[in-house]
Amino acid sequence: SDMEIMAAIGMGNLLEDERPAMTKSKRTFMQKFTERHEALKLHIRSPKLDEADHDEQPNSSRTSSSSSTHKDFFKIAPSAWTAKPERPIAMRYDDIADDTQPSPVYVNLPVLPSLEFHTESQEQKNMARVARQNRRESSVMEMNATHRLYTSHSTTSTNSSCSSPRTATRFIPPNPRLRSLPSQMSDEQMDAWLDMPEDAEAHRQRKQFATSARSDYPPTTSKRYLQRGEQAARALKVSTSPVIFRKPMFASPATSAINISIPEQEIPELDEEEGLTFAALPVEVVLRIVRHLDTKSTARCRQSCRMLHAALPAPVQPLSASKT
Amino acid sequence: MAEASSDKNMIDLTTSDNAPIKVERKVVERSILIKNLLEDLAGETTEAIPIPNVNEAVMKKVLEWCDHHKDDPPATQDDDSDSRKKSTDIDEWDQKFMQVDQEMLFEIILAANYLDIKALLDVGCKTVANMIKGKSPDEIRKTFNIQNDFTPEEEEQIRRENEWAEDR
Repeated sequence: SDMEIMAAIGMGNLLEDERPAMTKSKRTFMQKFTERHEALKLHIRSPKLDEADHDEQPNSSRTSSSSSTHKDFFKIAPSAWTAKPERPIAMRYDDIADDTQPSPVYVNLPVLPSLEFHTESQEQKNMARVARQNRRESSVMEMNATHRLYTSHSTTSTNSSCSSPRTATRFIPPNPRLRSLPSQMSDEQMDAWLDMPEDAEAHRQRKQFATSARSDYPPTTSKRYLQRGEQAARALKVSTSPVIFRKPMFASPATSAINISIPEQEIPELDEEEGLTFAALPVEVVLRIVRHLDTKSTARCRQSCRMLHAALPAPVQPLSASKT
Repeated sequence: MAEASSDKNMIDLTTSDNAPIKVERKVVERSILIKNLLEDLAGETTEAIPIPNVNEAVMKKVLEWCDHHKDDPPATQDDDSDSRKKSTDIDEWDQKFMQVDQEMLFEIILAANYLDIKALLDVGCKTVANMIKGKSPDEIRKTFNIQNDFTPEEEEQIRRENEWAEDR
């Protein structure tokens, strides 16, 4: 190899030293992201391609499966996918982690001699099937990658501590809270970030955090609705005004078999031993009683217990009392 | 039931404890609730009117008051004015009528409120107001068996706020 020759000549070190120091151009986040994405696509695709190669072996029984493939195609592949140009090539990306060779290499599929025996239509079918599989897989990968991109940037994600062994071995930011955006990362950090899988532990923690945060916040609309219902039921219990019950009585006066019923109304719950007490009276009745009182008596009545203090409005202090 | 329908001036009532009470229509019509109901039904029913929130003892007491006041003129707007409400003058008969234990007194007030008998409700409220008048907070508590649930600090603060209302 070249290296061996260079080593034998003893020029290796010399050439290394003479090589001008090139500043490594910093690639953008999106470039790197796209490269990783392509690499991932290839990674998933390659075993499938092997399978496709096997499929292309002469096999007369395979021709009958074309109808089922068509079924799958119509079931799964949306019409938008057909707009993409068909590409009968496979990508080979040998060095995923190496930054010096970032671009994927597009290689023509090896043409097997057996292909000559196939009819042109069968060949097209096989290729279309491979392409469909690839697209399906790439769309899944795309979704996963996008999901990872968004979730990694969420505040909950940055706050959560990653504890999976893989994450720990690859890249642990000095302070997860201050984790920088991809645009501010160095190349190494960016690589590590792109390689970092969705951490199951972090995902779980984020979910837990979201759940607990939801319970800490003010109640949702549905909860508020239930609370309001309870309040209304409580208010109806306390109220004893007959006015509330007049409407149902007008409801069906013309019916032949009239069912007379005055809606049942809850009377304030009584203590079996004490019976009905002044403090147990509905507020509207207490207010009616207090209307018959002078300001001094009202003030004293308010001082008797918490319930009355809360229920009764503070009487206006007479001018004569305020002067003295 | 047949009897009730034969005599249109008599109304059947059923109390919360399922006690049937037969009462003169004029008497029972002191209750605005029952009066409106009877007007709406316009004699189309033969069934007894259920009064689910009032028991027999209280209902009889209320009907006793209604019977005594059946010929009274209906309440006017002036009766609801503040000047009238502030007054705690009670008719002599009503005073005697209201000489019952506190529980019954409050039951009558609640029944009057439910059956919409304003005059009876006023009498009951005036009676209770008379029991409160001139009493200190502590005396009010004793009279009505109210528990003082203020903390000493709260009580002191409220006392200072209402110092003007204390007897000197």
